[in-house]
Amino acid sequence: MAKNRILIVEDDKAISDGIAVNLQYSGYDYMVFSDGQEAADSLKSDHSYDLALLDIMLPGMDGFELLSYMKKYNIPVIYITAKSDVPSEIKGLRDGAEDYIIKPFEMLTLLVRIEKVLERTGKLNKVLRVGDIILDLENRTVTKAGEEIILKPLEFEVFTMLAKYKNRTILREKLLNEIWGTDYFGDTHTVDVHIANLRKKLDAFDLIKTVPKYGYRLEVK
Amino acid sequence: MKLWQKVSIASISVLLAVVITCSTLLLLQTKDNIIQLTTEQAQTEQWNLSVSFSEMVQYYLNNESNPAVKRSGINYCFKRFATHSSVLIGKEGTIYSAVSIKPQEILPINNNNQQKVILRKIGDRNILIVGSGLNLLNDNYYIYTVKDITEVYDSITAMTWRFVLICGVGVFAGTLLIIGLVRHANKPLIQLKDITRRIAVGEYDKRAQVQSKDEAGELAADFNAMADAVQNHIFELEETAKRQQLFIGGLTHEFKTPLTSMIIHSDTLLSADLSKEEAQNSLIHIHTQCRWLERLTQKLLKLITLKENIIIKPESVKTLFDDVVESTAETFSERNITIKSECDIDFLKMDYDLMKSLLINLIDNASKASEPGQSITLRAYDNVLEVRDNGKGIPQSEIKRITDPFHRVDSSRSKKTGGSGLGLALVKRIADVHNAHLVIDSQLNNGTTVKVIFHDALPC
Repeated sequence: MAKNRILIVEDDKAISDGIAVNLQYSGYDYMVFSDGQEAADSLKSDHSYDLALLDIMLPGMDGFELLSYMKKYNIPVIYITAKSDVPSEIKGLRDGAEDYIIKPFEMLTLLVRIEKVLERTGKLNKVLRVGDIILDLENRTVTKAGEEIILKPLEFEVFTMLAKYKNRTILREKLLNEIWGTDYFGDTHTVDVHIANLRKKLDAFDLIKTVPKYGYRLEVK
Repeated sequence: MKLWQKVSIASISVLLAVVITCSTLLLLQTKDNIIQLTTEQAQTEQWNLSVSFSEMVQYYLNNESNPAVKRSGINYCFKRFATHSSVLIGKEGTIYSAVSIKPQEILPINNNNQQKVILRKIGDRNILIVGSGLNLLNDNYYIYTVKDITEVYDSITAMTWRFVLICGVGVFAGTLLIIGLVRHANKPLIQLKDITRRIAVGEYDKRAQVQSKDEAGELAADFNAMADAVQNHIFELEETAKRQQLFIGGLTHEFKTPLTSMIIHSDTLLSADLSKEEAQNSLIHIHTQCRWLERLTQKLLKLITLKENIIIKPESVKTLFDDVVESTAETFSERNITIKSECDIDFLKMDYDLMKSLLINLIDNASKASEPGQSITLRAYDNVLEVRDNGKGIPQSEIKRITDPFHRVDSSRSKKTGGSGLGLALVKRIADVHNAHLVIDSQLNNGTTVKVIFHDALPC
């Protein structure tokens, strides 16, 4: 199972470093360029990317120009930029970018958007693997060491979210909002109950870590 | 009510009053004159008749004449002179009458020679009666001239109507003329009113097109001058607002980049189980960005509070140059860039700290544009301070905007050269408070010269 490969073109090293670390932990491969021209040139020899994250104001060649190169190789693009003006956003999206994220942004937001774009373009891995547990997102089945384990729909959702953003602590409230929806009136205790069930059913007491006062993390070394 | 209506109504009222008064007075006067003339005619006629009749009677008759002869003689004599308006009355009654009325009943004459006149309306006729007494051959006679002057009255009435007609036409024409004139005189005002309204709704470039040299023309000229001033002010305000908006936009942008990496790294530190080395790396990033933000705020603060606490007094330019060279020496030796200073003036009025800050900023820029091994020249002559480098230069199109806050020639805002984009904005502000202006000459790959030209801080 190949990892999704992502191209990052961002001239601020602090930002590209941060994105890279998070992508790595979430199970993506990545390549970083800090110069637009260099990134465009590199595509000639290597263009096997599932997605490109482009800054707009870049040395060498700006993000808008770079988009045409990405189109040539069918690489979907998400702009990450401090240009928060509407005309730029419209230009970016109209020219064919998949998404437009304005700095500063939450890392989880970026990860979710990356996932949505991959899903839309059919490049998202449909099968997630966590140790000996395999999640088939298409058929909604879970197997552990080849044996199928029956999960309730909400348990499946919780485990999928943890698996998608593995090695990243997810807030209880975030899980509640994402899976139960914002108009659910229950408290975060519901999340704890589902996590307990998952741990039991999957024998995942070590795998799903509790981060006190914060949330849960699926830890894969 | 509109001004033109008021003026028109007032003028027309005055015109009417004058015309009516004058016409009435004139008509009355004329009527009196005509009647007096007619009366005098009748009097003359009656007098002539009376005199001629009496002379003839005295010539032909005397007291001794037979009464019958006397009667027929008198009758004859009177007939000789009588006209169709003559009447002769004797003591027994009417002797001769050419008219149908009895004047002696209307105008009784006492026994004297005095002529009497009366004007009487009988039926629809105006009758003028002139009469006098006469003693002839010891008898009293009364001679009357009775004139029907109705025609005179009729002609006066006809004349009155003609007058009314002429005056009416005159007043009508006058009214039209007045309205026309008033409206014409009013036209510039109406135009000004329209222009004022258009300016009020934001069309600040509209101007009144009034060519006349009268008060309206002067008003229009003054109005246009005022509109110019308003337009200039509005333009300045708009420019200021635009600059401020750009400044705020640039500022937000400037804060966003460091904030983004701080959020990403702190988020990563919180959520991901990083290795010690990775965690250290993230912390370094956060720290660097914090320091960067701190420097940015310092510079901003300096830019905004610049006008406070400035002390402009004569300072030694030589001391300033030495100080500046010393402050920047470390950077220069690191990058192998040499600095030369040529000082042709002794003193210049300035705020020492601000001018030092200005020069350091300019030298900083010059060093960023220079390659190792190149040199930077600092010069002072006349009323000019100059910083010259032989570096990569600035594209012509950028020179105008280079002093805008947050503007960078390299739009990517790369941190390679470490600029905040505020350096030259600060330099310009400092120059402004010294009443100096910047002249930037640059040729690509041939170097840049920045001159600070002082206007009223002349060498002392």
